[in-house]
Amino acid sequence: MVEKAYVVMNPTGVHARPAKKIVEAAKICEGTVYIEKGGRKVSAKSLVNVLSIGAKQNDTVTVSAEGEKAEAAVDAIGAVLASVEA
Amino acid sequence: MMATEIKGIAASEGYAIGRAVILREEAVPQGITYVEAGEEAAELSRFDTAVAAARSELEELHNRMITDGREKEAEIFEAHLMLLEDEELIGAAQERIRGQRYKAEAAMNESGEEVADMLASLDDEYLRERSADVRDVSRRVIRKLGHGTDADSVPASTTATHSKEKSILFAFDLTPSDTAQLDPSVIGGFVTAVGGRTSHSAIIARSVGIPAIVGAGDEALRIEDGQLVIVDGAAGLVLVEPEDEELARYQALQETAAGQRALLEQFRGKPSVSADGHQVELVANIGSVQDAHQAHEQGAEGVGLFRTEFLYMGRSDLPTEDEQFSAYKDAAEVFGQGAPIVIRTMDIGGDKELPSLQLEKEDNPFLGYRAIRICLDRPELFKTQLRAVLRASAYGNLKIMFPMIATLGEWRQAKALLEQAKQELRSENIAFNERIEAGIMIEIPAAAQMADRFAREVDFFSIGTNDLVQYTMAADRMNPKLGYLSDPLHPPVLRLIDQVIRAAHKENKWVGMCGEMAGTPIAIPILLGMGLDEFSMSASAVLPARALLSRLDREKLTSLAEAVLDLDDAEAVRSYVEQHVSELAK
Repeated sequence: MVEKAYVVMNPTGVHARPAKKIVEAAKICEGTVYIEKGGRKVSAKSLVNVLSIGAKQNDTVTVSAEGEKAEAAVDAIGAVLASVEA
Repeated sequence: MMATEIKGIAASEGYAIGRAVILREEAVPQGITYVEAGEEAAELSRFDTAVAAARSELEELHNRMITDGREKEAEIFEAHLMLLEDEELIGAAQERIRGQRYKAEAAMNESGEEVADMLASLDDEYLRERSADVRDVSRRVIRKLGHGTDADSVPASTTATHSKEKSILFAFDLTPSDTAQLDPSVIGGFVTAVGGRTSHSAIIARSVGIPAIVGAGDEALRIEDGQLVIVDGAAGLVLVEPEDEELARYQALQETAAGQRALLEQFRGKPSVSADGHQVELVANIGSVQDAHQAHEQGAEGVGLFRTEFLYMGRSDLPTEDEQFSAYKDAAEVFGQGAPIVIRTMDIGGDKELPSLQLEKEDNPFLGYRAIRICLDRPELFKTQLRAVLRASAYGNLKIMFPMIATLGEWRQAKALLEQAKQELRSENIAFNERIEAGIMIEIPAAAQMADRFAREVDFFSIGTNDLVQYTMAADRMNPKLGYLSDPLHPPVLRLIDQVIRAAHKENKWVGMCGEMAGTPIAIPILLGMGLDEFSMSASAVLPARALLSRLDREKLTSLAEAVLDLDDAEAVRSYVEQHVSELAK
């Protein structure tokens, strides 16, 4: 299993556009991909779920994945979280 | 039959006359129904077929919005497409069919409601609004399973019935996809039972330009299909089966409004020039990036006043440098390179409180600790904003303006802090416009009196008439009993304005005005005659002001601008201008 922590850099938090990119990134991995904030751990392959953790700027978010291309998916999600661009 | 009236909230201006079309809520399958054991696979494939049909429908809608240049609407459908692939929504429905033998409709309905309820319970307005999108998507799939009308309800029920006349849509509420598809050539206006001025449907109505009334209550749903109705979007009134006289009155109003609109349309995208070829700048007052879009649509050439305090209000913490930077940069990018964007540093205090600053209560807040007075006292707060404005200046023609300046010392301190912020950015190798203009607002009589001295040091002035009037006349502008004093046309105020414009022009500096006065038809001839260079107003006043300007002769108005300074009071000024400027009558 791959697990990494990131700080949300986007000033508007994880809203529609970044959430969409996270779901796309999660789908790189064939297996399970989770995103966790403040004890709430949800599948990163669902837009609804990713939105529902309500991650804001400067929040710490943990991303974990298991299965083929897990590392690639986690890194791709990390890139979205660390990006300042909306 | 007597005409009935229904009162609601005026959500989008204009008049519409047409036949009522009622959008009934589709019957959503109630309760849970099951399929026989062994039929799960067949039910699952029926569900998947419906999802695929919903997808191709959404793709088509999305493409149509793109072709029509309706980006906002296209984004709605893009989000819906994404939801259609969501494992929490679609995956959960499939699981209900596969594992619990749910019928497809029941499975979709339950998953949709579960997700929508979850989003609706979150402490985030943006996410709460998304619950409407989830319900919208789940209803679309249920429709594809053979329930309710097959196509989207709006075009289906309207084009079919009354093709010659426009339709007036009545609904409990409009779903995001209903509103996105409103076609102004078919729908004359709409009325909903619920909703407020900022609801999704109200915003779209204003952007498409059709009259709308929201929050009209259950009465709006007792209308019958095909009844003749009038929607008065200005008054928030629906007239059902109007008398002939009423109908004629509204037809006349409609024609006048259409004529005026067509007349004003000619001035969109044109320079703001007087009849004798004198050019000025007509810009808008804004408080957010959204306002910037609206101002741009309404023909403003730029922004004369960005009220940045709105970024600070309605929250418990302070906006960060990055957050402010994005807002200023986005506003500049709406208007494009070269368009002037005047950013006024925060004007907190007075009537605008801010929980995060924990300001003490004062007896006279308008004469108290506010605006630049707070900023100079708390430079760390000010610096954050200055850095944000400077960074954004790399992306457009930003100018910075300090409010509530009373003394030369305050201006110099503010300027020194701006220089410090520049120095910081230089040493951090962050790009900004080295030649960014810095000016002050003239709203305190003390500054107006010293305008000649200020003019040597600043790049520009912008006259804030709302405060200038209340400080000159010693009349609280919130007190309705003092309305006769709160009038910018009083000669003492006009004299100060005249003095400020002269002082600035002597030093070759430009002068703007960002109070309500700048967009008032009666004041425009005076200000033009005095030589005001920039007029900043609410977005909706821009095209009418440009139209008025095109009929005014600047040369002839200089004597009018001088004459009014010698009159007794605002009343005398008003009648003098009305008498001498025949264009105001048109």
